[in-house]
Amino acid sequence: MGGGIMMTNGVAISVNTAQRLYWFGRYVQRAETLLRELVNSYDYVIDRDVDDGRKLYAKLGVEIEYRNALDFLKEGIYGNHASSIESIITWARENAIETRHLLDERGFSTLNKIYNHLVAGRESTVSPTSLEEMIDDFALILGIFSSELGRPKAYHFIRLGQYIERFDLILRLYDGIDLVNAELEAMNVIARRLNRYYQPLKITSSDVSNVLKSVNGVVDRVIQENTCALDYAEEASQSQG
Amino acid sequence: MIEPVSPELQKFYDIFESVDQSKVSEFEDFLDANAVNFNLFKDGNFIERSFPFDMIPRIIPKAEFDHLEAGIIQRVKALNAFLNDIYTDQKILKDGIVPREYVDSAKGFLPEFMGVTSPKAIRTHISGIDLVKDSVSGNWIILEDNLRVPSGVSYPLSIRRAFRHTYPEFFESMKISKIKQYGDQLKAAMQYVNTGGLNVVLTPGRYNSAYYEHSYLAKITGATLALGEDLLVENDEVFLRAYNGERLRVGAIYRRLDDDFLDPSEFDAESLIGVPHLASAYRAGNVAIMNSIGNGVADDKGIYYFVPAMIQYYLNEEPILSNAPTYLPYYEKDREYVLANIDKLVIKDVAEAGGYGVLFGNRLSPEQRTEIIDMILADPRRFIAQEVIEFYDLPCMMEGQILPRKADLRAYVIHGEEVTVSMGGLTRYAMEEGNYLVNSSQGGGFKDTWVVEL
Repeated sequence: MGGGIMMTNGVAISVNTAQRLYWFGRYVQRAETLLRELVNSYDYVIDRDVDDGRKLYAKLGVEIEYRNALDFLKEGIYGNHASSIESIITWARENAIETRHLLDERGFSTLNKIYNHLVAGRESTVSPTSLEEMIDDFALILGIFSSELGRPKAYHFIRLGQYIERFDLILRLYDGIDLVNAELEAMNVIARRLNRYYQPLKITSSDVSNVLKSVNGVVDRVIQENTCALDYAEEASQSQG
Repeated sequence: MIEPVSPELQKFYDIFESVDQSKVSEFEDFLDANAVNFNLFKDGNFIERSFPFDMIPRIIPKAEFDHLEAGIIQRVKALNAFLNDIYTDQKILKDGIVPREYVDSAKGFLPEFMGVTSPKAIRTHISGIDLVKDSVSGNWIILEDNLRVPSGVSYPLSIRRAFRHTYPEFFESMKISKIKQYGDQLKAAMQYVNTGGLNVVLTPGRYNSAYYEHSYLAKITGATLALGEDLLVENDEVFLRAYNGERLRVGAIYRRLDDDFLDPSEFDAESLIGVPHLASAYRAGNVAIMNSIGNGVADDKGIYYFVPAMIQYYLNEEPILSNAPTYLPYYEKDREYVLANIDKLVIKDVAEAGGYGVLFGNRLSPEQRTEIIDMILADPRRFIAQEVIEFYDLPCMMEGQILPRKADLRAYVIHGEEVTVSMGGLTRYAMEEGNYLVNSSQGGGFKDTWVVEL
């Protein structure tokens, strides 16, 4: 029998896997939040302000056009832009596929079912009811990865991604620095659990773009990509040079 | 010809009559929802594809499987002994049992690894042995030994769980051998050869056809799933680049990529999915590579011919299971037979795999026939010829009917402290009637395999 360390799931996590888990958390959170915003805005488009949908996406840096409320939903779900729900879920699923060995099976299959449903419905009218069901499914996924009991280290990356995405969207949609500050400690605790050298983030600026930059930089202080030895390409070029 | 219904299969049918058959659709839902895929590249495009599944399992009576198990274990032990011998003393060549030129010309033989020993003298850690059941003799026949990167084990393991959830009635009423211990056995085999450090499943990545399986195996063994770029070699030791900047030593690597791509500094320099200098770490004995480097020499289609002789040579036993009747055009007598009887033989190109390079003599046009004869004469070592085995069709449920389809069996063998055969396996069937090519890469489907004791 070989000696030495033996590590089990969740302890020995590579840079690639950590990044994937983190982005899985971000995209799932983004999908859930934007679905909620989309459904809320759908009602506003019908009842109050036909431009409400445009204003929502403008905050995300996306220009969209639509003719009516249902068309707005279609654009929000399938539009040709990076904030469409289909794009976000596709990326969430890609990250989930690459990390599925560390994920809860139910969480994975729920996400995959949402993806299959979206792909199958591309040519159909979008139903607000089906979007509400989708929100429930995302609540289930987020709940699975928030469970306190026996949470493996992999889930901390997902939670970190969720926090950062929440902060990012709160800042972009509501300029909510105070809201972010109120939850900052919980995010710092997770980051510290993942990397003992992590120094807690403190928000002192009142400028939203500065805060956004700080928040989005947290991951680079937790997942350290460039601390290992020379890669092969560098080594090869050195030996040739 | 369809395999006669055994009492065990009859019991399956009897229970099936009484269960809610509408729940069959749950299997497809399960495969879709869980993305249990065997992906394909077609016309340069990556296609995510569920592996077609047929819910009627292949059922093998326990006593019949016991015989298979003994024969498979015997075969894997002999093949392991052959590999250890070929990369060290080469006694079997010196004693004239296997012609030296057959080894020297085998694509999978890597003379640069002569003298390199593998931890615990194990090289065939995970094998996939392909068999068919001959409808003429009723005997199981070995078609191929897969000793490099045999895939497929995850599919019966995954579907078995779904089956138990959907139709517990079968498992309550039938004595079906369990297969779920495969993960523990694989983990134990990794631990057994581990030189100190992590167990890793090395994958080419998400766009590999069997990526689902790679992640599944990492999950059930608790190993770390890694891409080539996640690993680095320093001072002939292998490390995982951990997310926090640490390097964690790796002691065993279940690699799911071929030798050619394993190490760009040793093999294909263009490989972007390998680990530079991994072969040096292996040579130094600092890491176990599962399966070992250079195993391709033993599952070469030409070397297959000699496996029964290997069993006698290394184990001093009579082979329990038979090869398909095989001819080597390399030998003059066999060549004459092959050329005279090409219309009734299957010709296989030894360099090909996955159902490619297989020609049925009776389907060749006159021009193709002439072409293949010329190729055999020009390079006889490149081909083997086999009698066509009329192997059994199995009942498959297709479009609401039960239809016969050709099917083989891949048995999975783990060689750790002991050699164990998973009490089931992957049954692959052809999608079209009369098609003998059942390979997944040829679009075939799969069934679970139940070993049943009445």
